[in-house]
Amino acid sequence: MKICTPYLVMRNRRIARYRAASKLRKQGKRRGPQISGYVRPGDEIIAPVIINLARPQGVQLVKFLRAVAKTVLVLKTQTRLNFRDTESLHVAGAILLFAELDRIIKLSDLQKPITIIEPRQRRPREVLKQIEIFQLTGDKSDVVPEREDVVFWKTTKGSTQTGDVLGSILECVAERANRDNIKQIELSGIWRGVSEAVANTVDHAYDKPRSDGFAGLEDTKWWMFTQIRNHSFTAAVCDLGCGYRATVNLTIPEVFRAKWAQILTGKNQDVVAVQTAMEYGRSGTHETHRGKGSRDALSVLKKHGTGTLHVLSNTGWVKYEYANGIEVRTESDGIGIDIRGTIIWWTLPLKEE
Amino acid sequence: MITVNIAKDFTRYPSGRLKKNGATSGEGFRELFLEPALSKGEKVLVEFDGTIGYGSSFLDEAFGGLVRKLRIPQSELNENLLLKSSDPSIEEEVRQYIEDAYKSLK
Repeated sequence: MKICTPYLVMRNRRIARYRAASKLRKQGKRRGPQISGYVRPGDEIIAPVIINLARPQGVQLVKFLRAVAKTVLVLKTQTRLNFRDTESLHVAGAILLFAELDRIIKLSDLQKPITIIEPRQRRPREVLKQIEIFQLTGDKSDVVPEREDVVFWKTTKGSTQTGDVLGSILECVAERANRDNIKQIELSGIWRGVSEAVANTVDHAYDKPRSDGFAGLEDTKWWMFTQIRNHSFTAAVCDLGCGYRATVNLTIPEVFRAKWAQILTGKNQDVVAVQTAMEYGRSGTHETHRGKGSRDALSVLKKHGTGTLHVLSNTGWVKYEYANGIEVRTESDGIGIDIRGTIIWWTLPLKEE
Repeated sequence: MITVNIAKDFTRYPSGRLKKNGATSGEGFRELFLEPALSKGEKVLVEFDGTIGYGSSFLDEAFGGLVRKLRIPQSELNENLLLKSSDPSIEEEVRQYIEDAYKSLK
């Protein structure tokens, strides 16, 4: 009988891994971590194949980000994020990735807490470069973003409501969108939604610490992301604060209490909080003239006529859809995991129907 | 009469409510341009064109805040505060914030 040396054990494992991978390939399935599996903290963490917050990829992305946070902030160990198998990045996932990595790096005492292992495919590599992930982590990438659907992704961040940086980026992206498309972007409408979302974030998002105890960074309170892709303009604002539920509960308790009936029927509490804020406003000051910001988010769609607004807050999301200036559909659901933050995200089509 | 063009004299990117949260806020604009003139009974013409747009926080704090802070009689404010915009909805909205602020004082 053949003696089972350590070399043979390793060899057999390698062959088994190869066979399992080729079997998956033949079935047309992707490699990468299990969709809802545990993501182990460690010196190398495998990133999801699809960076998105839709179910079920959202669960996987959030578990990945939690593993990164645990490794760097709790275990105080440097880690490499392996994006080798990552194939695509979507708006909500990309902005949450950008914001969380920025937060983790800023809170860490380590010299270089995170190193990025680049994706194999060129497109996600270009996207990571374009949204400045490599800049965040201090890594270098030789790839030069040149794809039409990548070069108009822009990210920015800030801690105040001062509009100069925010406004000039929006102007730049909108100018490009208006040059290439028949349907024009009404910048004043977008400005109302985006600037009020940022103002809301600065005013209320960090009133309370979020569920993991994080109470905000000194120099960054919001992250913004704009994109032109497939004849659509996208703008997203993200914060890593306590979410709508905490602030709405503080501000409009009567209305919120009345909504408990809905909650008891099984509706996601964060969804109820977002819908309440959209309906009645959101303000932490109890002053009657405050709290118009949430509703301004919808005015972007009214002004543009057609488009969608997604509001993701902690464990729930609400989607508002407009056509010809009127609301045609509202959808809502749970994300399946707490994203520990809020993302407000508009998509405006630039093609005439 | 003093003429204030928000885009030229203050910022092209007005946003937010309070000064502590940003330099382009409604409170900042109010304290810099509206309060000094209106508290002395001077006329002020505010021109809204040329900016990227306006958020409701900025407009409410700048104009509604004026009423809440200075408590100028409504007739005097209507006479002394003149608004000019190519978008009539802006003027309408500002007037509404002023109206709401007077209601909240009662």
